[in-house]
Amino acid sequence: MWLSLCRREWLLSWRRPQDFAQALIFLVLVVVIFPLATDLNALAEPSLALAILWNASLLSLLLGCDQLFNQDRDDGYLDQVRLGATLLVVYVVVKMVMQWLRTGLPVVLITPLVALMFGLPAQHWGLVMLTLALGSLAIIVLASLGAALTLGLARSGMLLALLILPLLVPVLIYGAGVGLAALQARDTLAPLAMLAALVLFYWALIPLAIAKVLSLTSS
Amino acid sequence: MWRWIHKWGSPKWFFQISLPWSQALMAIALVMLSLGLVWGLALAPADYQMGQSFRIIYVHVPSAILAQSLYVWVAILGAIGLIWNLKITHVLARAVMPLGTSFVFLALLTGGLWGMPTWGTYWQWDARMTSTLFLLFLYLGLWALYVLLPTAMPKQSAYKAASILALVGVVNIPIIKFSVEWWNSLHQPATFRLTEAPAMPVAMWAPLLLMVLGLYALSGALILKRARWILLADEHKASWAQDELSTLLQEKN
Repeated sequence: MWLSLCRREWLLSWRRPQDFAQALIFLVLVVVIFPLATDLNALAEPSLALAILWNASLLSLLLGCDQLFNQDRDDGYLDQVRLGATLLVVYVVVKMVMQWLRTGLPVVLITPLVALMFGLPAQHWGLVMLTLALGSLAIIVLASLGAALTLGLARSGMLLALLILPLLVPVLIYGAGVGLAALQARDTLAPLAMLAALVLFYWALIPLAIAKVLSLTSS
Repeated sequence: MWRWIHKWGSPKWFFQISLPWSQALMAIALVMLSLGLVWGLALAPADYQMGQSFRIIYVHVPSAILAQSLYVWVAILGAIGLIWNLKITHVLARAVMPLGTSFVFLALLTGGLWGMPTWGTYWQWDARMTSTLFLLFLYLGLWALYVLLPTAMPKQSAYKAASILALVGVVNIPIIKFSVEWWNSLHQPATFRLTEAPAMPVAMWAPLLLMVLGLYALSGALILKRARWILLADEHKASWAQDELSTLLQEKN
């Protein structure tokens, strides 16, 4: 059941490559316009690099999840799932995993490029990529919750950001905090552990909430 | 007693029972608030460090406490509404939203005004101030959801979906409350603790307690009043609502 759901998602993703491309290009664009708004080389400052990278990734992932469930609702697949074709929670988890593969993984992989643009030392790249991988997992879960809540509404992108950004603050603080601690030669294990704990906590509980919300908002 | 509690869940009985309750709570609130304000703003001794500017504590602390309590209350209402499917909980939650948002805003505003003479800054990105700011955004987002979702789907489903968001967001409240203990913070630690007496003299914390309790009473009164009107609007087709509306119109004329 998992495999067939994953295969369906994978095929659908390949038929809409613009989803994956848009998120990535949005991220790079947002990162690039920051130095343009100020003294071009004043931003070659590693801690600023972290802030810009994290916030751009946050926004790119959030907005990328905006229409996560819309296509399935429109073509009736969501109703089939609700009628018992499969467990709603399973469907939600598969959607989120595939969304991470579509948008989260590219964000992680493009981090070295962005780090290069801002002069982030190469020895920290691995750690920052790890925190972005974990952080993007948490962001995708909460963004999916927002997508489920705003499923029926038009122009839901901004409302989704308004709803979910406050909930994402701990992820941002700890995620960027790991990189900041590495730059300042402080202990990185503590914020990394908190970030991992947050990711596990969200993935354990929030899919259930998303399933419940979907059953309410797709009626 | 259980029957009486159960009656609150019925819209018609809620409407009848809540009237004397809201009037009593309003009376208590007015007494406590006027006592507390006069005592706190005029009669309490000035702080030896902060001078007269500390008096803003009598507005700042109660509104901050209420803002957090009301959010927890909305989350509890959401949980009850989801588990037991009571429509009145969503009416009450919607009644809380404007009040809770106003209290957070007031807490942030008065906090900033207090910070200027005391710390030399209106704002700092420390744990408590930042998480209270995000409480404001949580309120605004939840309010937006309660208003916008019913336009796109059946009302009860919309309110249940909004309550789920309230429940997810309630995690922020312990973070605010304990943030001043977990992290080094510019903001001072809590004044009232359940286990020990406050460090302030009685003449200072007594009016504060009065203000907090008075503001709780005021919130209760205002929420019940607003809930009554929301309920009338929602249920206006029911026969009991028609009777109430005609009574109200007659009293007006």
